Amino acid sequence: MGQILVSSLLISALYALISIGFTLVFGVARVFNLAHGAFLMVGAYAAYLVNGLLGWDIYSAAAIAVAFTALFAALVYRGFIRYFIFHPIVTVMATLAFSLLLEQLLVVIPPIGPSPRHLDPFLEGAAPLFGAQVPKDRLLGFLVSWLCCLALFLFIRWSKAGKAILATAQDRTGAALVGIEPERVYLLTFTVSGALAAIAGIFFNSWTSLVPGIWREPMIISFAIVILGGLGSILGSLVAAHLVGFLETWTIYTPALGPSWVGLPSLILLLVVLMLRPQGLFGVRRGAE
Amino acid sequence: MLDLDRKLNRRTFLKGLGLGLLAAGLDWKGTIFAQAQEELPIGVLAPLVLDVGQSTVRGAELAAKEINEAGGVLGRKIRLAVRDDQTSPQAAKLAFEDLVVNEGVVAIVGEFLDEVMISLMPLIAQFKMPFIDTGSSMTATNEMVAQDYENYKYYFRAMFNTDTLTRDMERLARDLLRDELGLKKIGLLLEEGIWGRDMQAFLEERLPALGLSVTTVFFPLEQRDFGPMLAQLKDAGVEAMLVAFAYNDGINFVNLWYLTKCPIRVFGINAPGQAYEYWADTKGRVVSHVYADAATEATAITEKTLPFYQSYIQTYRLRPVRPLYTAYSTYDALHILSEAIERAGRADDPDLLVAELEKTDYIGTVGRLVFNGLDSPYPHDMKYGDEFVVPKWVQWQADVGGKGKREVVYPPQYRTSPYIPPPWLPPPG
Amino acid sequence: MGHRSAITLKVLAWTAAVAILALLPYLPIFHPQRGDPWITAFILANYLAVFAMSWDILSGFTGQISFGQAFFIGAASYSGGLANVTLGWPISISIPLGVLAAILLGLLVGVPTLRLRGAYLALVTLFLPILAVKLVSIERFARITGGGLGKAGLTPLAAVALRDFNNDGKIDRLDLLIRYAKNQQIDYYYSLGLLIFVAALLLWLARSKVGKIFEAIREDEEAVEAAGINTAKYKILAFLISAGVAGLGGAFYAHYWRSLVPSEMLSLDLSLKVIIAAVLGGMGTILGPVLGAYFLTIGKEALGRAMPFSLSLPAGWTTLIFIALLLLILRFARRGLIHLALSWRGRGEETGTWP
Repeated sequence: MGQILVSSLLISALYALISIGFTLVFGVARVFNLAHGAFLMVGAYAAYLVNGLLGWDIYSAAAIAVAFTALFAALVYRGFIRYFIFHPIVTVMATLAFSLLLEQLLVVIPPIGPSPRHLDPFLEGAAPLFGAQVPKDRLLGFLVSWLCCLALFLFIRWSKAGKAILATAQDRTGAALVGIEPERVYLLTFTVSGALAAIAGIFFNSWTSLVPGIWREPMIISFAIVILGGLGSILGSLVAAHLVGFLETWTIYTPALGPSWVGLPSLILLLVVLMLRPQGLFGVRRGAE
Repeated sequence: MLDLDRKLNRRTFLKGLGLGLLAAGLDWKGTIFAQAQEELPIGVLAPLVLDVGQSTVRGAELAAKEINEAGGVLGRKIRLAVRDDQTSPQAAKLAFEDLVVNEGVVAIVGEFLDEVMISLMPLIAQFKMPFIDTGSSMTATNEMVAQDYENYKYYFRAMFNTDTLTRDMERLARDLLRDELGLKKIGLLLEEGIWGRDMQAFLEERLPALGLSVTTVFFPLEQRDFGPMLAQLKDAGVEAMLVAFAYNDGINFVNLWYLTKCPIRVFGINAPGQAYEYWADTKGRVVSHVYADAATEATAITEKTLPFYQSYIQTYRLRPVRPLYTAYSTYDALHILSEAIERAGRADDPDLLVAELEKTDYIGTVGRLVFNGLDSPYPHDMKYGDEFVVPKWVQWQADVGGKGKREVVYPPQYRTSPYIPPPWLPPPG
Repeated sequence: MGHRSAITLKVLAWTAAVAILALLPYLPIFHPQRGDPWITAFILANYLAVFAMSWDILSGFTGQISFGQAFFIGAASYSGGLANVTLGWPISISIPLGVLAAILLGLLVGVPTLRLRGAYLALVTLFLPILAVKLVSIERFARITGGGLGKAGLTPLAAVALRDFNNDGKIDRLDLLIRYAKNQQIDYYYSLGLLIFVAALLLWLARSKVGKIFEAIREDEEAVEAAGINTAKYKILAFLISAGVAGLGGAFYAHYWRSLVPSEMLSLDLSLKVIIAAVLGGMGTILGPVLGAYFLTIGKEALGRAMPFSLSLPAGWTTLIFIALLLLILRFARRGLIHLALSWRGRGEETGTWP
C-alpha cells in the first residue's frame, strides 16, 4: 500500500499540472482545447531538440522548452484556434485535427521521426521512500508540479493579470464592462496553459521515451480528470487528478487486474460521472443539459 | 515465360473475366513479365521505421550485390523490391499483394512482428509464394505448415523461433544462472502477446524442474513505466530475470532498472537491445544485460560471419551502423534462396522451389542452416542444436573508454568473456 | 427549361457514376486478370463510405455529434468475427450477429447519453473505442479476444477455388493471380453492393418523414418537442440506425480483412477518418460522405503512388495533407465538397451545417 500511495502521489501531481492548464482554458475562454496534449508533446520535443540534438544540459533545455511552448500556445490560439471557436464541435474537431497534424509533422521531419527519442534525466539515481525506490527525477517532478500549482494560485489571487483571468472566467461581459480586454486574457490563459503543459510534458517523459504519439494518453487522462472534477474548476481538477492517479496505480498493483487494465477504471468512472452528473464532481451546471 | 504466353492465349479466362481483357491483356504481358525475363524480382517486406527492418533490407542488399557480382541466378540479376509493412497487418497485406501482383516477385524474405507475419500466412498459401521469414519468431506459423502442409509449405524461417529461444533459455538458466552463478530465484518479465504467453507456459513448467523458483510478470506492449513490474519482482526476491522485449523498445525498462540500482540480473530477449546504438540510447545503462542474438562481431561462428560484418559496416554509415540479427538472417536467406533457384533450374515454379529449399544444407553467417522436416513439430524452421545453429547470449559490457562492447557469455564454444554482474551487485562466488 | 435539363443532367451523372463503379474491375486502366491495388483502394473507399454514411445519419442529420463510430464498427467486427473464428459459425450467422451486437450497443449508448448536448456527447463517444481497445487488450481475455495483437483466420468473403477455372490441372503463378483477381472482384462487388444498399436505404430514410424529423431536431429540438413529437424516441432511433449501419459495414469489413486488429478496427484514427470523410464530403447529405470517402481513399492511393515508396514518407505526408484539408473545409467550406460541387454548378442545395 505504501508503494501504491507513493507512486500515485507522484504521478497525480503531474496529472494535476496537465489538467489545470486544460481546465483553465475552458473556464476562461470556453474552449475545449484538445490540442492541450499537443502542447505537452511540443514541450517534450522542444526539450529534446535542445538537449538531445544541440547537446545542452537538461535544465537549460527545459527552461527554453517551457518558454517556447508558452509562446507556441499563444500563437496557436492567435493564429489557429481563434478561427474555429464559432461552434464547440468545430473547436473539438479542429483542435484534435491540429494535434494529429503536429504528430504527423514530427513523424515526417527527419531529425525527429517516428523512432523513440530520449531526454537526459535531471537527477541520476533513486531515493528510498516508504520502502520504495523512487527515481530522484520523479521526486523533482512532484516538487516542481506542486510549486507550479502554488505559483498559479498566487498569480490568480494576487496579481492584476490573474485577477483579470478570474473576473473573465466568472463573468465575461462584466469583466469587459470594467475594461478587461477578453482577447488579451484568453491569450494570457493559453500562454500559462502552454507553459504548464510543457513542464508536465518534460517531467512526464524524462524517464520514458518520446514518440510522436505522446500527446494522446495525456489528452485522454487530462480530459477524464477535467470532466470528473468539473469543467473550469481548478480545485476539482486537483482532486480528480489524485483520484485518477490513485485508481491507475492501484490497478497496476492489484494482482487480479494488472497493467493491462490500466485506464479502464478511470474511463468507466468518467463515463458514469458524465451520464449521472455531467457537470462533474465540483462543476457548476453549465451547457451540458 | 513461353509457358505463360501459351496459357494467356489458350486459357479461357475471357469466359470468367470478360471485357477488360481486350484492352488490358497486352499491356500486362508487356510490362511485368517481360521485365521479369531479364531480372529476377525478389520481395523484401519489413518494418522500415525500425532498426530491425533497416537491417533486413541491408542484409538483402548485400547478398543481392554479391550474388549479382558473381553472375546472378540462372544468369539473371536479382532485383530487390522493398516494401514497408508499417508494422501494421493491414498495410502488410496490401504490400504483399503489391509485391506479387505489380512486381511479379518469385519469393519474399523478411518480416519481423508476429502479428504481421501470421496475418500474411493466408496470402502465402493463396499465392503459393515461397517466403523466408527472417525476423519473426512465433511457432504458430510452423504449426500451420505441419497441419496443412500442401497449403503452407511455402513458408520457411531462417531465424530462431520462440520454441528454440525458450529451450535455449532453459539451458542458459541451468548452465549459467544455476550452475555457474548459483542463483535460485528467477523472474520472468514478458511482453504481452502470443510469444510471451508461450514462453510463460514453457518456462513455468521447466524451470521448477531444475530447482529454480519462477515469478512471472507481464507488461503491455506500450508500457512506459516499469516501476510496478520491477517492484513486484523485487518483492518476490528474484535474483535474475528472463525478459522478452520485441515490440516495446525496452529503453524505459533499462533506464529505470539502472537508476534504481535494481538488484536483479537481466538476461533474455530484447530485439531492439541488440543494436549497437542501444548503448548510446540508454547512455550505457544497459550494462551487464545479456541478450540472445544470432551472431556478433565478437565471434567467428563460421568463415562467413566476420566478412559479412565487415562489408556491412563499410557499406552503411547510418543507423543501425552494425548489423542486427535480421541482417544476418536475411543475408543467409537470400543465399539459400538463390542456391535453391539454381538447383531448381527455374524460378517460376513454387512447388519445385519449395522442394529444393527443403534440401538446403548451407553454411551461413550464423551456423549451419538445415530446415526441419515434417517429423518435427515445427517443420521448415531451421534446425536447432550445437551442430546447427544455437542462440548466442551476448552481454553488454563497458570497455575502457566507457563505450559499449558486446561479448558472448554463453554457450561455452562461442564464449569470449565470463559473465560480469551489474556494478552494484557482488561478483559471482 | 433550365431546371428540367438540370434534372436530366443529374440523372445522367448518377447513372454514369453507378455504371462506372459497377464495371470498375473491367475498366482497361486496371489489370483485371491479375488484380490491381487500385481496386483494393476502391474496396476500402466503399467501406469507408458506408462508415461515413452511418455517421452522417446520426451526426449530420440529428446533430448528435459522435466521435466514436469505430466503437460500433469494431464491436460488430469483433462479435461477428470472434463467433466465426472461435465458434466456427458461418458468415451467414456471424454478420447478422455483428449487426445485432452493434445495434444493442447503440441502444446501450444512445439512451443514457440522450441528455448530453454538443461537445459532451462528442467526448463520451470519443472515449468509447478507447475503452473497447482496452477491454479486448486485457491479457486475461487474450485467449479469446486475441489481445492487443488481434486475431486472424476469419472466413473470407470471397474464396474462388482454383478448380473452378483451371482446366489443365497444372497450377502456376498465373492461375494464382487469376484467382486473386477473381477474389478481388468478388470483394469489390460485396463492398459496392453494401455501399449501394446503405446509400439507398439512408437516402430513402432521409427523405421520409423520419428524416425530416431528424433534421428538425438538429435545427430546433425545442420546437419539435413543442409540436408534440417525442424527440427522445427519434434521437435513439437515429443512434440505432447509425450503429446498425456501422455494424453492417464493420461485420463485412472483418471478413474482408480476415482478421481482427484492435489498433486498426477500434482505433481513434478510424473514428477520425470517418468524420474527416463525412465532413469533407458534406454533412447531412448522405452522398456527401460517400464523395468524401472516395476523395480520401483514392486521393491517398494516388498520392502514395506518385511518390517513391522507399522514402517511407507518403503515409505520413498524405495523412498530413488530408488533415490540413479537413481544417480548411472546417473553416471555409463548412458544407463540404459536395456543396462546393453543387454550388459551382449554380444550384447549391441547402445541406446540413453545424447544429
